[in-house]
Amino acid sequence: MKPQAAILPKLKTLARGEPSLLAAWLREPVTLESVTPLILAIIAGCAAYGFGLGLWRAPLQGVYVAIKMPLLIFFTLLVNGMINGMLGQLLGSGMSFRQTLMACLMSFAIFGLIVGSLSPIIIAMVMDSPRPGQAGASDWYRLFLLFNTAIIAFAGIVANHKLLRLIQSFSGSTAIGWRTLISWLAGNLFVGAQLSYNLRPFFGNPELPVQFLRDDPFDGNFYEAVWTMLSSATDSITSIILWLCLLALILPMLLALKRFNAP
Amino acid sequence: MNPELTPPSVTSPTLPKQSSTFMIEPMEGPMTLSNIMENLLKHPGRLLHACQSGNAEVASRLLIITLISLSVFGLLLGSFSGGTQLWASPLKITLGMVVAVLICLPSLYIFSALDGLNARLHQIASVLLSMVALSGLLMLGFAPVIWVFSTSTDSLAFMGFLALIFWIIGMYFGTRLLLGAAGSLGSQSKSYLKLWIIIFTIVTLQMSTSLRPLIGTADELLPTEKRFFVQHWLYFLDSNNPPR
Repeated sequence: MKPQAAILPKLKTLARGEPSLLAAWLREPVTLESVTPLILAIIAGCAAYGFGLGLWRAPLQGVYVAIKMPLLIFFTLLVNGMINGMLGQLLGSGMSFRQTLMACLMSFAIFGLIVGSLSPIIIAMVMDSPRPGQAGASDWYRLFLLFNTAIIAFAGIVANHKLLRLIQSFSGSTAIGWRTLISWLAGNLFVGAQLSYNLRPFFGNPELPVQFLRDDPFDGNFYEAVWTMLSSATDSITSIILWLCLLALILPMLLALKRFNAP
Repeated sequence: MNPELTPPSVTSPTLPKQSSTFMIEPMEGPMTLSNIMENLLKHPGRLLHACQSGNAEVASRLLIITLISLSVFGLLLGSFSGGTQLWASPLKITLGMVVAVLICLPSLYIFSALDGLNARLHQIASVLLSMVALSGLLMLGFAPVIWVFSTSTDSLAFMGFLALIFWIIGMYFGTRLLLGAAGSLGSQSKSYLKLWIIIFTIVTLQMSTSLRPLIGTADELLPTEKRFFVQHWLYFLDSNNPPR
């Protein structure tokens, strides 16, 4: 079978997200054939979507973001690989370190497939938009940010839902599936947010130059920036909205943990 | 590593809610560090069985895992300030934990007896060693995260908070192991053990203050002024105060 012929059925399996098929995939020994579709889906999907994100600022910014988005995912997996593997075993997922890494790769690959499939729409939207500096550009930029936040949230929810079903199928327990997912998700979000801060810019602020990384990529951290923003928000409505966003992020995790932590 | 487990194939859409047990049973596989780490995460009861059967090899490997894990965590924590802290921080964290374990072991023995546990000192010591090894192993898992933040921030308070959160997570899983082991060994209640956990947590937090600085720099290797850890945190949170 030609390599591309082997990759396409795997990508289809991934998109369908059938837990028993994904679990069987996890049980396979690691070969180039089993890992390549996942890596390809992440690189191709995130690069295409990243290009669309940066394109509005400048085509070169699009190329930069196309490189950085897959890198962000691989760096997050690299930093969290060890702790995710430990937590997976500790919480009874039944997965080894390799299987944990593969499961996370699968989840990110599903994310890549979704955002990649939407990238033509994003690129078309950018082509049909007012350029930076033109009339209506700032309103459009806000809309663009909102639209992409929704896309990323949607892709993230779907990818994690598939991952949850996979862990539940693998461990044979609903509660273990939830606990493991939440622990991985919390770690990946925590580190991913910081790494995205280090790898900024992604959307590309029109008032700042086109750059691969900012001049001071390792100066400051995401959480301090959020804290500064929260404490300096003079407008009370803005402040309330920011705090509500933060609560909306943390509360579901705490509730799910509480629900599934009972013996 | 051991061959990977073949998971149960689940075809039914309804899954059980819970399947967590603490079984003290014989250990399988060789006594390699990787196998012991895997058992510590998946089947800690097997390590306790081996320790209680007088297997010194398992106990010594658990000790090695603890020392290496805490040293690596300390090294990456020390990389925030660099210089002297690159060796001082791992040394202080490792020695501090050894001292905390040694001074808390007698009270753990007594408190476990108060909870109705009929265990010998070496059994309790092996449970404590497993608990600390598991907490240390998780700290090792968090070490890359610490490194990412240590290269990105200059805030001592943030790094201290991060290290504290990771220590609490490690302690949570470690104490879960302790309580599970006590239940399997026949303890009638767990209230005294929970009290001991609070004491042990306070001792380790105080140790981090007594051996300061673990993060940041100071003129002396060890502090000249004695301080309670809460007092130290409050002092530190006041940005007008110089680090001491």
